[in-house]
Amino acid sequence: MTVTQSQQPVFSPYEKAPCALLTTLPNGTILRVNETFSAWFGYAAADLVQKKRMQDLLTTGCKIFHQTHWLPLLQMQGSVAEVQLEFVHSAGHAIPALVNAVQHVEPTRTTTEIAVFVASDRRRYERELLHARRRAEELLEVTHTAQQAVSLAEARLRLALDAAQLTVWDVEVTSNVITFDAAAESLLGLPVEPMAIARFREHIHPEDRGPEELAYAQALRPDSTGNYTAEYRFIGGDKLERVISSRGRVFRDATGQLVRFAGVLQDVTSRRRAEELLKEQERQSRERAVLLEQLVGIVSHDLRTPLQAVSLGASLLGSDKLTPMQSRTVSRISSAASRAHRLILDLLDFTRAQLGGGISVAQTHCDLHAVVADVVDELKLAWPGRMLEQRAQGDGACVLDADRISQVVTNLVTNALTYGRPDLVVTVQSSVTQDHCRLSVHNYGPPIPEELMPHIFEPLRRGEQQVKLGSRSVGLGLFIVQQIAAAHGGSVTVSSTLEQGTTFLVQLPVRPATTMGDLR
Amino acid sequence: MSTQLRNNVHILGEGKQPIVFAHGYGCDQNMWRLLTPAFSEQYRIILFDLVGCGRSDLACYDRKKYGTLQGHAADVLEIVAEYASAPAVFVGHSVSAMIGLLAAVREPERFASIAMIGPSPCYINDGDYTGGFTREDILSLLDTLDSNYLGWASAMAPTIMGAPDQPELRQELTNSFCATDPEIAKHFARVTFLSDNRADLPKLQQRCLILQCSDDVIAPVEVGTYMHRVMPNSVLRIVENVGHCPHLSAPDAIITALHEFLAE
Repeated sequence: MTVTQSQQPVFSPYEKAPCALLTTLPNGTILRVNETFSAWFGYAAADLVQKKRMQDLLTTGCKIFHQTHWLPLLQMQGSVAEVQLEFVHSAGHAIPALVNAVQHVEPTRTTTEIAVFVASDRRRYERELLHARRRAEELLEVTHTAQQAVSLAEARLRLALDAAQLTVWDVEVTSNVITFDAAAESLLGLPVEPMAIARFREHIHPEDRGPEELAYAQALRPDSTGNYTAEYRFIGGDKLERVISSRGRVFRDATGQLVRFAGVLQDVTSRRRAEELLKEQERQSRERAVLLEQLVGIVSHDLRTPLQAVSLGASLLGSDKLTPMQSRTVSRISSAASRAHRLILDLLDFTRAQLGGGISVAQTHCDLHAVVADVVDELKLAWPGRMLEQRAQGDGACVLDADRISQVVTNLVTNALTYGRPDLVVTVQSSVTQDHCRLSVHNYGPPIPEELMPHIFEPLRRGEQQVKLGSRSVGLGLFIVQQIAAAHGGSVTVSSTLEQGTTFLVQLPVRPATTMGDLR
Repeated sequence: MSTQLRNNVHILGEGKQPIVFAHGYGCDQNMWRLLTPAFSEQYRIILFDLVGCGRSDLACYDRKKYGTLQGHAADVLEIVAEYASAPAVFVGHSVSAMIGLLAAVREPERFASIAMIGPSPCYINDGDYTGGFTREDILSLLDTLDSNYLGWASAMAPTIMGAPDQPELRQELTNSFCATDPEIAKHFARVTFLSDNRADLPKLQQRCLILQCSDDVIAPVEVGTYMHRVMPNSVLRIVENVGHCPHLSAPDAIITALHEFLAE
């Protein structure tokens, strides 16, 4: 069977090419498009030829690109290849395309032959590549920034370590190899290469090795905090002994697996030596204090015995018939002996308060008024011709150290008689309320000098006033009063003016009955 | 850093009067090769690449300095100071027209006159002002630059079709022409197309030639007439040309216009 050529549909490779083809003038005016172009971009050839320019079919961004890149390139080198442009389909959507073009310069005119390949997939792929590249660049930037931060942090750490004279160590826990930073060389007097822990420990003083190993093992125990602290004498490669303080920490990952064991070393030799020196000085001064206290105690005690003999002798003499002159002498001997005895007691108290654990009190049930009355009666005898009055308010039952309170009253009243106006009364008041035992001693006369007031309860202070013969004062009385008040948990205060005279007020807290069993 | 290496400066011509040719956005100093022969006898021709383009030193592309056109204007002043012994004629295409304007406003004594090819002080429409584009259009351009990122980044695939009549140019062109760091190209596009130098136009003291193409999508005729209106010492010439690069597509018309302007 024969078929004539004319009956076959004419196949045109140009019209049916597997890419869109168009021919334009240099200014872009379209001269010809193939069927593929019409089909892909939705324009009839008749609507384009001589009516549109190629750039009219581009998106706005591509129009600029066409002007700034495509045309110069085409005009300069006569061709362009693989340029991506977006054509606007007649329906309005943009179609990415890859475009090649070549210029034909003919005698009569110049034309441009353009081939267009739809490149949606390729463009998507390229965008992915581009995004991946940008992402990679961003990550690189992040990494770079992080590295910078790390090196900055390291520099700061180094600075801090140098300033604190610390050396970093790091133990590889599976192999038990310890590594140091460079600063360790002078610190340890050893070359700083990594070494086995056991070899490192050979340099530790044998007496300190055990505790160090214990601390190390303790830190590595899974149930411990992981903190490690040790201090040991270390004999370096230079044979010098130094004291090393080592602090470290075990680091574990989220599963509890051991990751690192690291820490810092510090040479604390000079600090340790200074501490030891200080301790030694303290020990020595404590020893001296104890010795002094013992000395004072011994002397006071030994003085009391001959003094008692003097007192006894004087009282024996006093019982016989004496001349008035002898009688006065015996009386002076007796009074001087008892003054000396009180001074010795004060001296003992002072020594205890100052050097020992303070004045001790033994509190028992007693009557405050009766305690005061005894002392007042005694002092009336000792200070004949002076007005001394006691005012007791209410019930006097309380819990106190009666001997010590007697001492307080004696010291305060003796002071009042010594410094007060001899022609006016000295008054002692005592009261026991729900909260406090109160004891006050008042005298008239010139006030205590203002500059003396802040120091009045300090030992070895006393008024400048001429001390009368027979008064006893070495400046310990008020100090002892204060110490006794403090030992009772109470206080002593003073007020002194020309108009009101001088009042010392002792206030002691009343102990609740329930704790009385504990009182000593 | 020498300006020569930074801006890839080339000096041509036998004359004394300096004339600077400054290329626009997208390409480099090769754009001027159809024009330069017409000026080489009378002038000392100074060609250069804006930093970030052509064979300039890309390492000098400081995004802060070149974040405005003033950065490029400062470079132009340095080039003129170094290579021009007398006040120079400045011929600027596209964005370089504005770069030249900024340079001449800053140091007027260095410039004899300014010729602008396809200039635009502002590409984006603003109220009564027609720049030709919306902000979205410019973003679309940046998107197109992204699309061609790989093509330009790989320094132009070998041109299979070549340039039959000028084979000697092929190697050089494929290596440099329009090819640059795509990120710089994108940054420069942003700086160029989002710039607004309308306020600087009246400050220019020199005579100024505005060469406006009759059909230019990047610089529409309205832009040329606007500039002529606000620049007291300006001459507006419309060149019959489709496209933004009349010095390539209609070089003779541009040469004639420039000669006439410079002869006045």
